[in-house]
Amino acid sequence: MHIPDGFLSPTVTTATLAVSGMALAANVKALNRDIKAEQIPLMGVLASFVFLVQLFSFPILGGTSIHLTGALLISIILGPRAGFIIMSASLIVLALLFQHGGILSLGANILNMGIVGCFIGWGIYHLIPGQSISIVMASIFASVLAAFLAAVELASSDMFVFSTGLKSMLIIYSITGLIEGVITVSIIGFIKRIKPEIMELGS
Amino acid sequence: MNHGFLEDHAFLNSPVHRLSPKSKLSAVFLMLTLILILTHLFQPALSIQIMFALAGILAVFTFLSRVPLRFLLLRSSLVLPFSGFVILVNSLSGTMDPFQILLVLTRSILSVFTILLLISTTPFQQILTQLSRWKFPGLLVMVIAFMYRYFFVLAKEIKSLEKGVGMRSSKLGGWQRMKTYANILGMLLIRSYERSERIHQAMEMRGFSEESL
Repeated sequence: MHIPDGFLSPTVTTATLAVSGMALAANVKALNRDIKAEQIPLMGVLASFVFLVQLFSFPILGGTSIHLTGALLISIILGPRAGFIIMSASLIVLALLFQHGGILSLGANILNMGIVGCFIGWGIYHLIPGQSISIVMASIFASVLAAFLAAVELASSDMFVFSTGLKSMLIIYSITGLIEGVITVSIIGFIKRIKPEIMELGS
Repeated sequence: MNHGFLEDHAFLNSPVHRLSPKSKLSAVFLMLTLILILTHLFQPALSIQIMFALAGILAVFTFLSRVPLRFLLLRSSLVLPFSGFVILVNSLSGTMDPFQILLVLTRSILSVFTILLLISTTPFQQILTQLSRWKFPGLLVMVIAFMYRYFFVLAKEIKSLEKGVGMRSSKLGGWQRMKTYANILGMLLIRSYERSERIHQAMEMRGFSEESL
């Protein structure tokens, strides 16, 4: 759910830009404190990876297809702070080069997908870390919360009535979250089997 | 390696291309803010006139830039699915009248057109350089630059992984297919990790350290 420019009111735009801007500044500052040189190309190349994951559509039932966000996957591997920077970078590139989302609506999109997907998702996963079920739960919850926030933002910009907008999004995004969760479990299982040292990068 | 379809027109030569990235980026931010604020400040009838004026300014720059209008309009239409979704939900609940819907559509198309005009007249590298001059966090700019640089490399890699899977297996059923997709992505992640190690060695050889940020 990438919100393009033109749909959010000036108030919602300013508020979400402020929240996401402060979150970005705080996280860059925290990461800069003890970053090692090899983490910079690592974050950069994995950012390309996340970006490709987002453009890679999975065919699901009925000829429709969905794409993943990769937020939870990258946060489990690199930690939520690095994951958040990567998600923000990919949202910026999507908005600038692929016309997917907007520039002034970046605040809302970074809040919905970056902050929720990385920090809330990772937080839920860490209630019972290392379990497949917690990955799936975290993924569904983050996806539903992102849809909920998008509905709040669009409804307070008078785009639609909150309850109708929410209902139509919740169905889609709980299924999307479930599929993303299952695939994330599958990818992490594969990495643990083939190259387990990748799982220790975040610690 | 081909950034062609993204930067198709960024290296043309025109008065707009020769403007400094600083002025172009400032103009884009100003334009987006005007599109956002002005239509919320005034009555709908006046808003439509303002939209025409802003569209006129964009038309002048489009003409001067020699970027094909067809390309810009075609790419601008990428925002239509989202508009369709909002209109659909609206028809169920009915918050906006058709006039307001038209206003929202115009706003979103003008905004995306503005961004397209920027990236079709300014190489991406110059946009990033300008952002770091404006004290954008260095780490974020670097991650974006890497993302842009390696996106096509990884896209090529995923193509060859898909080809490999396609050659070795006939049509897979739903669950099996999803699992194979997950394995392809897992493999791509491992290769990306290994690639980043080699990139780091090359960067270190040239004197890069964490102080370079």
